[in-house]
Amino acid sequence: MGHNIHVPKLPNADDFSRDLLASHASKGKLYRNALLITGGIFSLGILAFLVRFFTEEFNSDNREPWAYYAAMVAFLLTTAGAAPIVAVALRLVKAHWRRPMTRVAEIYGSVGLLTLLLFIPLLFLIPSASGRRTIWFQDHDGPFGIGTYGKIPGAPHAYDLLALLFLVICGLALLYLSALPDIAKLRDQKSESRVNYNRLSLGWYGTWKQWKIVNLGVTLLGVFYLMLFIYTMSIFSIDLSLSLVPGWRDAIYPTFQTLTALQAGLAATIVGLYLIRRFARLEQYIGVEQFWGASKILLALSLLWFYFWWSGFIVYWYGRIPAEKDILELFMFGPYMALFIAAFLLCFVCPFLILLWNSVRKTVWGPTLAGVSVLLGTLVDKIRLYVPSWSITDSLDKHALSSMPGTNYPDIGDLLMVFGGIAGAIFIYLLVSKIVPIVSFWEMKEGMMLRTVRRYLRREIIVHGKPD
Amino acid sequence: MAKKGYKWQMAVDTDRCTGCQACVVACQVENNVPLNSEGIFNQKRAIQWIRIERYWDGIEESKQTGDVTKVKARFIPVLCQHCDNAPCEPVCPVFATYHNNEGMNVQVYNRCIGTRYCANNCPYSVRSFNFWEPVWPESLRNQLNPDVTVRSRGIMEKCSFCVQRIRRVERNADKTEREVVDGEVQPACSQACPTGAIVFGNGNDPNSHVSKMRDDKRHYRLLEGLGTDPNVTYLKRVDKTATVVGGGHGS
Amino acid sequence: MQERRVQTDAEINSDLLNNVLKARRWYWPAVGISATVMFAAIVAWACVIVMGLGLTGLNRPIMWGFFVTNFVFWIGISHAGVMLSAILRLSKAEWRRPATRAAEVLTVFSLMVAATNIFMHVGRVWRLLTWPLPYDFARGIFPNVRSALIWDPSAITTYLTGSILFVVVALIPDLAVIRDRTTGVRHQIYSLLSLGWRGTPRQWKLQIVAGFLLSALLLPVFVSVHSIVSWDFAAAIAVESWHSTIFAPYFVIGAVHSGVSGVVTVMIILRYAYNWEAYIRKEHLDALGKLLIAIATAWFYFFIMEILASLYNLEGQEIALRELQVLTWPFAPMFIVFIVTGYFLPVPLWLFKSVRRSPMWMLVTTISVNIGMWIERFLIVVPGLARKQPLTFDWSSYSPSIFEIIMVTGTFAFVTLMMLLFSKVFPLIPIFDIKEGQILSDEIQIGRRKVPALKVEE
Repeated sequence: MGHNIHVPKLPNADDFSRDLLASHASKGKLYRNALLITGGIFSLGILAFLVRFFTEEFNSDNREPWAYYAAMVAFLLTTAGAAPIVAVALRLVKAHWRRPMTRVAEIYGSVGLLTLLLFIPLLFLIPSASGRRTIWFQDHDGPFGIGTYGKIPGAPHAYDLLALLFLVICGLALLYLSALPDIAKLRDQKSESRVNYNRLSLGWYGTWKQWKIVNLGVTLLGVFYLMLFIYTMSIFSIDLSLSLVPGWRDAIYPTFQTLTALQAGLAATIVGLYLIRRFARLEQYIGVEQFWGASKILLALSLLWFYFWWSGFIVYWYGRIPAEKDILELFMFGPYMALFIAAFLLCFVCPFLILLWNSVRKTVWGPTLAGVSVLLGTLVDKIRLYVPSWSITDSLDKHALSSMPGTNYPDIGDLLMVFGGIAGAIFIYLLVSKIVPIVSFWEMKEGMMLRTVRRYLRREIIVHGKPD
Repeated sequence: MAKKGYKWQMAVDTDRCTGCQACVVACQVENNVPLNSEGIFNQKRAIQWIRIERYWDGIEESKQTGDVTKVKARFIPVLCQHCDNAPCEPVCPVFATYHNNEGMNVQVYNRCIGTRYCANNCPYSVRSFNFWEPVWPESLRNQLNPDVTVRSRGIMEKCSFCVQRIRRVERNADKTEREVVDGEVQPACSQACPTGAIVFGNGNDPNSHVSKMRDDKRHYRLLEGLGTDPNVTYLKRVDKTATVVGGGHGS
Repeated sequence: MQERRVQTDAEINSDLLNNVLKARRWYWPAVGISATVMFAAIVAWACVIVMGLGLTGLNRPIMWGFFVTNFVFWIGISHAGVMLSAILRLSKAEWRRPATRAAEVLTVFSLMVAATNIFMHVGRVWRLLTWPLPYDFARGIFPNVRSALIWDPSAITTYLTGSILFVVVALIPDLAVIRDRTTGVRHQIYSLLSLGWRGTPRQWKLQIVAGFLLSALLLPVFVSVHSIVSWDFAAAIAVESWHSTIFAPYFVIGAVHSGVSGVVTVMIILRYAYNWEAYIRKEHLDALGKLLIAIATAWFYFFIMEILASLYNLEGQEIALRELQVLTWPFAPMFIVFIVTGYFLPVPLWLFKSVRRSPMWMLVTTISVNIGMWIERFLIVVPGLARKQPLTFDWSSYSPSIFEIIMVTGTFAFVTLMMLLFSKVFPLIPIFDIKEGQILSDEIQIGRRKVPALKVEE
C-alpha cells in the first residue's frame, strides 16, 4: 500500500513466444563481434599459459608464477559457479518475480566446464597433504593418532577434482533438465539452426508425467547443486589458499568465500540479465520487478560480506597473537593493502551506498551498477587472497610466517591469463545461449497463467496465484 | 613518588627449584591469601597466587617396564606473569585490572565486580576468585599483613609482585633521593626460596641480577607463541633424556 | 493456503480475544506453578548473593558454567522475534501472520531473562548495577569499551528497546479492538494504551511504514547482538577452542535455529491452549518446518566448519579438548544427545510432509532442538575452559550445583510466567494481521481449476 505503482499491461504468451524466438534465431553483427573478441582474448590467454608452462618449472614447489592463474580459476568458480544457485534459491522460496532470471543464471552452469578444464593444471601445483596442516589429516602421528588409522589417499587433489567434477555435472544436468521443454519448443519451430533439437529434446511432448519429472528433477538437482557448491567452494578455498600459508588457521574463511560466491553469483546474474534485456530486446518481459527483487538480496549479501569479513578481522586483531597479526598484515595491511581497500570498497561500500535507496533499487541501472561493482570487487578480492597464498616460499610445516613477502605484481602473462579466462567464460556463455533460449519460456508462460489484474475498491491490483 | 623508569621483572630458575612450596606459604602469609582447606583444594578453588606445578616425566614407560627409578618430577612455580601484552587487561569491563608504568599488571580490588572474564582470558590460569567470604580463625587474625587489603567474596585476586614491598622500598629510596638498589626489593616468594631459584629486580637496569638471568642461554617464557610478552622468564636446561616432547604453540 | 476459512471480523475478534476478556480454566493454575518455580529460583539467588558463588559448581579454571550457558541460550531464543517478524514481514511471506506477535513477545522476555543471567553470574551484583553504564559513577572512571562485556549490554539494550517498540507499534490496532469491547476500568486502561487509534487510512499507513522501518533497522541489530555475545568467547585468546573466527555467524545461525524452534513450540502450545486451530493452521507449521530444515542445515555446516578448523592445527590441547568433549564422560553422552536432538532427529523427520503438518511431531522435534542447543552452548563453554592451554596441571572438570540448576529452571519459569501474563492482557495473535491476510486472499480460475491467489501490492 502506498507505493503508487501504476499497474502495467501484462504481457501475453504469444507475444513473448514470438519475441523470444526472434531474438534466439538472430545472430547479428553484435553477437559475432562479441564471439570474436572474447574468443580472441581467450586464445591469447591460452597462449600465455603455454608460454609460461614451457619456460617455468611446473611443479608444486614453484607456485609463484601461477598465482594469478589460481586467482582467476577461483574467480570463475566463485562467479559462474554460484550463479545457478540464484535460480535454485528463488525457485525454492517461490518468488514470483524469478521467472525471467532463472535461465540466465542456469546457463552459467555451463561455464563450469571451462572452470574444470582450467583447474586441472592446478592439481599438479598443489603440494601433497603430508607434513603440513590441512583438513585431510595426512601423516600425523599426533595424539589423536589419525595418521595411525591410515592416510586419506589422494588428498587433497582427488577430492577437490571429484567435488568440482560432480558440481559441473550437476550444473549441466540442471541446465539441461530445466531447458528441456524449451528445447522441445525449438524443435517444433523447425528453425534452421545447426543444433539438432530432435536428438536433444529426448522425445518431450509435455505429458503430465514428464512435467512432474521436470519439476521434481529441477528441484532436486537444484538442492544438490547448492549443497555441492557449498562443499566445493569450502574445500577449494581451504586447499588452494588457506592451507598454503603457514600459521593461517581461520574457521570462517571457507564460509566467507562461499558467501562472497553467492554475492558474486547474484551480481553475475543481474549483470547478465541487464545485458540480455538490452541486447535481446526483451524489455517488455524483464522489468524493474526483477531488478528490485534481486537488489534487496544483493544488499543483504553485501552487508553479509562486511559482516563475515569483520568477524574474521576482529578475532585476529583483538587477540594480538603474533602469527595471526602476520596474517592480517599479509592480506590486509601490508603488501596487498591497495587490493584490500579496493575489494572492500567495491564489494561492500559501493553496493551498499548504491542499493541503500529504494528509489535506486527500483531502477534497472541501479542494481546493475552495484552488480558490476561486486564483480570487479570479487576479482580484486580473489587476487588479494590467492596471489599471496601462492607466493609464499616458506616451508609449509612451519607454525607462522617467517617473514612478510613482498607484493607479487602481475606481468603481461599474468594479465593475459586472467582476462583470457574471463573472456573464455563469456565465450562459452554466448555459445550456450544460442543452444537454449536465454529466458525460460515455460516458466514465463506458467507465470503469465498465474497472474491477472482485478479491481479492488477503486484500484486495479495484480493478483498472483499461489497453487502451493 | 617520582617515576624512575623501573620495570619489575622476575626470573625463575627451575633447575634449582626443588618443589618445596616455601614460596607458596610465604606468599600466603605476606598477602593475606585466604586459607585453603583440603575440601577447597579438591573443589579446585584453592587460592594460590603462586603455585608449584608438578609434571611427571617417564610415567608411561615405568608403567610398561615396571622400573620406577627413571621417573622424574619437574617443578614450575607459576605466578602472574605480568604480561606486557596482558590478555586479561582489555577484557575487564570496569578497569579493575590495568598495566601500570612500572611494567606490572595490577588488580584493583574495590573496582572488581567479579565477571571472571580476566581469569578465563589468562592463559596461565593464575587468577583466583573468592568464591566464599574468606574467614580467618581468631588466632590467625593478628598475623594478617596490614599493608595488604583483605578481600571479600566475589573479587578476583592474583600475584601483585608484592607491590606493597615495592612501594615501601621506593618510598624509602625517595626519602634520600636515590635509586632502588638491585636486590633491595624482594617479594615474599623470592625472599623465602631456599635455593635462590626466584630472582626479582629491575629489568631496565642491565646490571641487575634479573637482567642477567633473562639473557641466560637457558631462558624461555611460558606459552611464548601467544604473544603475551610476559615479564617472568624461566630458566631450564633442556633434558635430552626426557621422554615427553613439547607441543602446542610453536614460536 | 488451501485451508483458509473465510471468517467474519466478529468471529476473529472473539476467537483471538478469548483469553483476554475471560480467563480460561487452566490459566490461573499455570500462572501459580510458574510463579512458584520462579520464587524458588529467587530464593536460591538470594542465597548465592549472601554466601558467595561458592554455592555453584565453578572453580579455577572453569569460571563460567551454567549461568553463562543459559545467558547465551536465551539470547539465542530471542532471535526468533526478528527472524520471523522482521524478515518474513520484509519478504511479505503470508504464513508469518499468526506467529509474529508470539515471536516478538518471546524475544522481549528472553532478552530480559538473558540480562538476568548476567546478574546471576557476577561476583558482586550490587556493583554491577551501575558500573557498566556509560557514566563515570565511581572514581571518575568510565567503563572499559575494549571489553566485550561492555559491548554486550549496549547490544542487548538496543535490541530490547527495538523489540519493545516493535511489539508496541504492532499492538496498537489490537488494543483499540479490545478497548471497544470492554467497559469500566479496563476500558480506560486500554483507551490510554491504544493512543487514540481510530483506524483512519493515514494511521494505517503510519503503522505499516513504522513496522517496515523497525523491521529493517532491527535486522542488523539482531545479527550484531549474538555476534557480540559470541565475541565474549572468540576474543579470548587463552581458551584455545574459543578463539575461532567463525563464532559470530555460527552463534547467530544457532540462535536462529533455536529461536525459530522455540517460537514453533510456543505456537503449538497456544494452538492447543486457546483452541486456535483456525489461525495456527497446519500449513503454517508446514512452512515453518521447511524453513527450519534450511536453517538447521546451515547451522550444521557452520558446526562442521568450526570443528574442522579447530582440529586443523592438530595441537595437543585442542585434540585433548575434542577428546574430552566427544569421547569422555560426562561430556560424551551429552555430545551424542546434543547432535541427535539438535540435528539428526528433527531434520530427517522434517523432510516428511506428514511430520511437518502434525502439531504433535512439530512440538516434539522443536523441543528436542532446544534441548540440543542448550547442551551445545554448554559444550562450548565448559569443555573449552576445562582444556584451556597445554599446561595440563590446570586442567579441571565441572559439575553444576543444585543452586545453578534451580536458578536456570527459574529462568524458564520466568519466561513462561511472563508469556502467560502477557496473553491475559494482550492478544497473542495479531488481529489486524489476520484480517489483512483475509483481505489479500483471492482466487484465480485456470482452466477447470481454482487456484488460491494473493493480491500483491506492488
